[in-house]
Amino acid sequence: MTSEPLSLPAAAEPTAYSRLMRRVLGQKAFVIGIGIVAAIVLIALLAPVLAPHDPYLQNLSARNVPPFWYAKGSWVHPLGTDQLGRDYLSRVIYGARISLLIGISVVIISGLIGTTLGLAAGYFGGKVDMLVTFLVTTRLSMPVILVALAVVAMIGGSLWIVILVLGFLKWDRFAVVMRSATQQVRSLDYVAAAEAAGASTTRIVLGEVLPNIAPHLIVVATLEAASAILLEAALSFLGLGVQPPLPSWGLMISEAKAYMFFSFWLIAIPGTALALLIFAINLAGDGLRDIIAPEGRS
Amino acid sequence: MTALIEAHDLTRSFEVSRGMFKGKRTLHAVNGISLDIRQGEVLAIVGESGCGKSTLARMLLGLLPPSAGAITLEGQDIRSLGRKGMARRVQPVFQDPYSSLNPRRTIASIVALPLEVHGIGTAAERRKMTIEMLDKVGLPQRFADRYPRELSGGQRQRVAIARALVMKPEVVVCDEPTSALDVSVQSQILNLLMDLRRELNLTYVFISHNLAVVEHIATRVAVMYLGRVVELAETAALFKAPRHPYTKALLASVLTPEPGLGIPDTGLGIAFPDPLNPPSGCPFHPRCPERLPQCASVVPQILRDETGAVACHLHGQGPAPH
Amino acid sequence: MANSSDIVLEVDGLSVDIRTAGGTLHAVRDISFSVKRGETLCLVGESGCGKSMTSLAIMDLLPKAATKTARRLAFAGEDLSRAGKGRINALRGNSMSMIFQEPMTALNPAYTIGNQLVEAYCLHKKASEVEARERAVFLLGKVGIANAAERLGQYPHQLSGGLRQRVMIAMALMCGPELLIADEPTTALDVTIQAQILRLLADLQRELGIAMVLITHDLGIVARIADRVAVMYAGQIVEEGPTASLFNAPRHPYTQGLIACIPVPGRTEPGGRLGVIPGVVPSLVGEVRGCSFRDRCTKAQQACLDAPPVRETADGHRWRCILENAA
Repeated sequence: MTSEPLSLPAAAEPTAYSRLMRRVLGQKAFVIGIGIVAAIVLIALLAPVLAPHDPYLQNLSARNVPPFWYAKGSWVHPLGTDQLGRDYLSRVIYGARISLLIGISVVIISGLIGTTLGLAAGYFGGKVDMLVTFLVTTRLSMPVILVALAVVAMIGGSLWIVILVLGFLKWDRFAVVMRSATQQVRSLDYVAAAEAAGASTTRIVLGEVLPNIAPHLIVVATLEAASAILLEAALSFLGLGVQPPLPSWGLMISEAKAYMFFSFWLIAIPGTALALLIFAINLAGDGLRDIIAPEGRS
Repeated sequence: MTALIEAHDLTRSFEVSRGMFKGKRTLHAVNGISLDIRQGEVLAIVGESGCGKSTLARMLLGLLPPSAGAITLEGQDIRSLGRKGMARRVQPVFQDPYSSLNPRRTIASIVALPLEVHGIGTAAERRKMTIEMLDKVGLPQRFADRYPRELSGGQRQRVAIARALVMKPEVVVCDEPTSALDVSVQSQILNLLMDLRRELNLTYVFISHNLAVVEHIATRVAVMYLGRVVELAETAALFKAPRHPYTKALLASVLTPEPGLGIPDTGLGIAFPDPLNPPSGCPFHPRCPERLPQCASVVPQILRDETGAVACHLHGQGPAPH
Repeated sequence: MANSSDIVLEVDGLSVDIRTAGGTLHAVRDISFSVKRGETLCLVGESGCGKSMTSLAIMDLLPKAATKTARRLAFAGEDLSRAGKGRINALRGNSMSMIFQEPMTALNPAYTIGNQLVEAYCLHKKASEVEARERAVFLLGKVGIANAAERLGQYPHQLSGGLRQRVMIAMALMCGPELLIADEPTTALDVTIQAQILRLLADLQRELGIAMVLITHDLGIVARIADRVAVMYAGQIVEEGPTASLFNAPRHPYTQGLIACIPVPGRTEPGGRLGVIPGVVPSLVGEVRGCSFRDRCTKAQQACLDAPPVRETADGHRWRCILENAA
């Protein structure tokens, strides 16, 4: 039979890990996006260490101090102070906490609602599917910002009200994407094999279906987080979101609008922070989608 | 031989939507099939796409409830056995080894899933049983912690067979288990299936469109056409003396690797009927080279005799009663 | 090769390399064959052997990551490897055409059958639409489609798989090709339809004197339709010869193994053991030295580490093996 030198290297596929790494690093946009997001998360976590001052401490003798690059600026307040003399850098750093808290909490609530509905619709089909589709259509016919404004105007604004309102409004995309992804996986033979093995519906949904649609879930979650952060900023800007003196970026922009023509940085700095975070999350989300897309047979 | 599974007048229909304003039509995928599967046999179910053989397989596995009729396992209705009760006795092997294995599980976890579901043994015992089963289907232990994507098509099909057999079932329903494989791999899987059958005393329902494979592996053959069984016989008898014209055409279409024989003329018309709008009378009559005047209007009765069964006016008991 | 003007397709030293993340994959390695007018050559092999890449290379339809090299790739005496894009476009769909495995992906769902049949003919033959429609109706009748004139107005999704494949054949014949490449033309079809389509192809090919390259994995089809057979393994042609000679006296261990794998009613013993080819296909990434079948071959020897010689008999039966006859 075959002796050792006769054997040829067998046709083998590269390991899953090395292929994944190659694909991830090939996505420059993803690397940049995830890098910025990671930096912002780190800043938010280390806020008490990084912030030079207490973000709530008012100093009426040092109001509207400009950032260091202006002639009148100083390194005591690198990004200046606001109309109440609070250190602007500290407020921007603590603002990241609010934005990330909003983004993550809203995605957890809406993700749970949407994924449950989408999984149920895609897995069971028939009447359940019809009901979920009806709920999604109903939800889509309501403009998020108007409903959120109405609710907040009625019961008053606070950080947790904003999170709950957005969480209960923004599950539609989760439901739609999870529904179609589940339908696809549902028809595959490994689900039938698990059924034939006697596995319960819960076990099949959690063990066979969910792990295979999780990549889609992550992509939707990132994009929805960005959208929730923007909506919070919009609500806060209109005075119906996070209430002062919390340092929300949207609220900071709102508070600064009266000084727009005299102290432009008051709007520009939180605005830039907001834009950078949204840009980075979207970049990471899009990159993630491209990394996941070619998954499957090679 | 005793009947292990019996299908009684089994029917399955689907509502097919034909667009928004056209309303629905009923597709009779399986249309009144009565069949027995005997202990220890290999019953092949043969037919072309759309004949209902996969729907029948799903019903035999308990994955799809029949619209009418019933399936019994040793006299007991399978609906009363429940999902878990069925799983211990009847297991599937599917056609496409790429979609039948969960890509996010390791091979060991795929094979151990039925054991886990039924709460058999401790984790360590399950692992041991899994490794033994993998060894039985010809996969060395080093495959246990790999993922399906790292395996070839043939190796994946071995994993699917290991998963089906790990619970020691009595019946395995193989739905085109080798159609997606290369010929050199197909022969390995067929050899393996035959070895396992002998070793574990299994009964196979073997669904296929490849008559050469069927002749090799099956002991009895049921030929399906548009949701009905048109002929049923022992393999040797069916291949030697087919009775239904459709069986004859199928046998004629087998292209064996024998040069010089040319390509056979099946004598069938070109149009395969629309399953949503099946022909009246005998569903095969528009394509049948031997049709009689009554074929277009009268559905042939099934004639059951010592060779098997055939549903054709050429082999009728004369005019139908009534 | 008594009459060289009869040779429609001549392939000499064709190689196809594909760039992959892990290195260069040598999908087709230095293969040579030719097809004469009125002759059917079957390329047979298992998945990954390079048979489809060969057909795409001839038609200049390779994917972007693939590059081809050839000493000579000649169609009707004209070297295609030196011809420009424009010249190949003028030939493709005109005097050389192709039938694909899955007609649904090759037909455009947005256009009627008639539109798709007529388009290439008008373009290549500078014919009027009326003439083109006449020819389309004639050919649809020829491939066995009843009431052809009505079918012209239908869309691909309105036809069954067998009918679509007939339309594909009619489309391939529209411009009266000299060379027809059929890549697994019946694999997606049912067995009774398969026999009908193959019969039709064989009849038309004989009647019109077309040179046909039929690519398949099914040795049954090969035995019944081919004049000559080339068996491919790991990107190479390992054995080539007249059909009867190849099936009755296969010389290469791989061909012998393949034939032993297939159950044949009346020949193999029911329930008996089928032949197997142990092992797996070698990786074609990087340089492949020596005989590529050696680690699956029961007759392998130390000499197999070097490239095996090409042996030949008087009737043009060639194989690549150190052994005169491995049986």
